[in-house]
Amino acid sequence: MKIEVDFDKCQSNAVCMQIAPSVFEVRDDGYLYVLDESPEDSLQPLVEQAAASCPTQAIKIVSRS
Amino acid sequence: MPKRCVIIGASLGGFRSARELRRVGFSGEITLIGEESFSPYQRPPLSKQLIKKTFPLERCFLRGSVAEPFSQQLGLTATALDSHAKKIQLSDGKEISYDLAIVATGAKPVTITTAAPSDRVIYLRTIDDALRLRDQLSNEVRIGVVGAGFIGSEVASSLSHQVSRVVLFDSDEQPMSKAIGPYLAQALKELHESNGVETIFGTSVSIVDSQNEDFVSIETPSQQFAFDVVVIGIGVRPATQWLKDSDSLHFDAVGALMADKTGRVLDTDDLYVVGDASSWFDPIYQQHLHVEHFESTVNQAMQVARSITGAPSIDYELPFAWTEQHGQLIQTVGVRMEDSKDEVIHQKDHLLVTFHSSEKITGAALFNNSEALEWTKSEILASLS
Ligand SMILES: Cc1cc2nc3c(=O)[nH]c(=O)nc-3n(C[C@H](O)[C@H](O)[C@H](O)COP(=O)(O)OP(=O)(O)OC[C@H]3O[C@@H](n4cnc5c(N)ncnc54)[C@H](O)[C@@H]3O)c2cc1C
Ligand code: SF4
Repeated sequence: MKIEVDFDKCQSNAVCMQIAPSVFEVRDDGYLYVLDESPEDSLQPLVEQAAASCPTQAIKIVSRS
Repeated sequence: MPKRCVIIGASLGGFRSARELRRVGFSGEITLIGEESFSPYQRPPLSKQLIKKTFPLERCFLRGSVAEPFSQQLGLTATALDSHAKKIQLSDGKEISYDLAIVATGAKPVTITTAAPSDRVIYLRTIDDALRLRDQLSNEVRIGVVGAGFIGSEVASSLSHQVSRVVLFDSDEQPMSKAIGPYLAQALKELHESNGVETIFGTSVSIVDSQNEDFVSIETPSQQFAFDVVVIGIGVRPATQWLKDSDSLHFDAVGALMADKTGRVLDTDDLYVVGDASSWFDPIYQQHLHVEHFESTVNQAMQVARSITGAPSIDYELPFAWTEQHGQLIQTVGVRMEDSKDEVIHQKDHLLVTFHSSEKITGAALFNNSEALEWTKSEILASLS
């Protein structure tokens, strides 16, 4: 799968990081970093949950495996 | 032949249009003209993280860069547009001609004549406004917030645990009730009160900013209050005044520039409009909609770039907005019509309110319930189509 984050929409509230910390990280500088843009298949349910939970709908799953 | 695209307004809509034009392969010249001197930035943090002091200023700027070549002229205002001659008049006395133009001038706050903007009367729209507010905050300061729409309600929430007193005023009985309906608005009102925000609702107010006093006073028919700073959020109007001399353009009731569903301004060929300045024809609601939110602005910028270059259109998206107050998330999707009948749906401790009009679900508001958003969107779309 492949994910894309719209960094202008992101408000760094770290909801995604709590759900999938191996993919999303909000650092002390206040910015979100995507640690893995193409997470392996086993992470798909978590990444989907993170995308659905994002308050600003900033995470988009652009292709599914 | 490569063309020149001039974009007026260098904020979310203008910047994202420029970026998207390059992404879909526009090879002409792009010039972005903006009145503010700051690089393009996000406004949502201005009433939230910036004044809560959880974001530094730098965190507010938009992140994606536009592929070159791309020119930006900041601190410059467009004063008139001639859609026949395809020329734009600028505040420095010069004019610029265009092959294509995108109006992205957004909106400006409605002001009250007795309360001119100053250090202690703030209409929150720009970074300058937000910094003026932020720099005066301390635990001794008394803040009055007039207008409990999105921005006023957010400001009250953001300041509630930082200053000595926050009083939120509105002539309606509840905060944000037109957008989220009375049920959630009542919950929000109680949330404000349990967080120490005093609410004075359902009454008219007058603001007196006399230079002889060291406070600004707000009077209701029965009470009088003194504040060090007053924040006013009684709505915005599309920043389209500068276009009003152009005889061929059409504006809606609030002054938004009207466009078709591709973003092309009605009765023009090479003029487009995005964001808070616009009113696009919505193919699902079958009417023009004027939306003043981040998500629609971004989607319109993406669509306009495609309309201009002929690239395939983006998928239709319902209007969507979010707000965070006292740590709680409220999202709205679709439209709440004036005659809306609301239905409250409890899902354990999550809440969903659907908005009904003419036997259709036209929209919904979700309270800490973003995982229900996709389902809600499909319910609305199924009902409307
Ligand atoms: C404090 C605040 C908080 C917000 N929070 C949220 C939120 O949580 N969620 C949400 O969905 N939306 C939110 N919004 C709304 C969102 O920011 C707007 O929908 C968005 O900024 C619209 O983008 P825009 O580019 O159309 O207009 P704007 O952002 O208003 O930008 C227009 C730009 O054009 C410039 N301009 C105007 N006239 C001229 C001219 N004649 N010549 C040259 N330049 C000109 C202006 O100076 C401005 O920089 C918020 C808005 C504010 C003010
Ligand atoms: S949940 Fe959304 S807004 Fe929050 S940090 Fe993640 S991507 Fe950003």
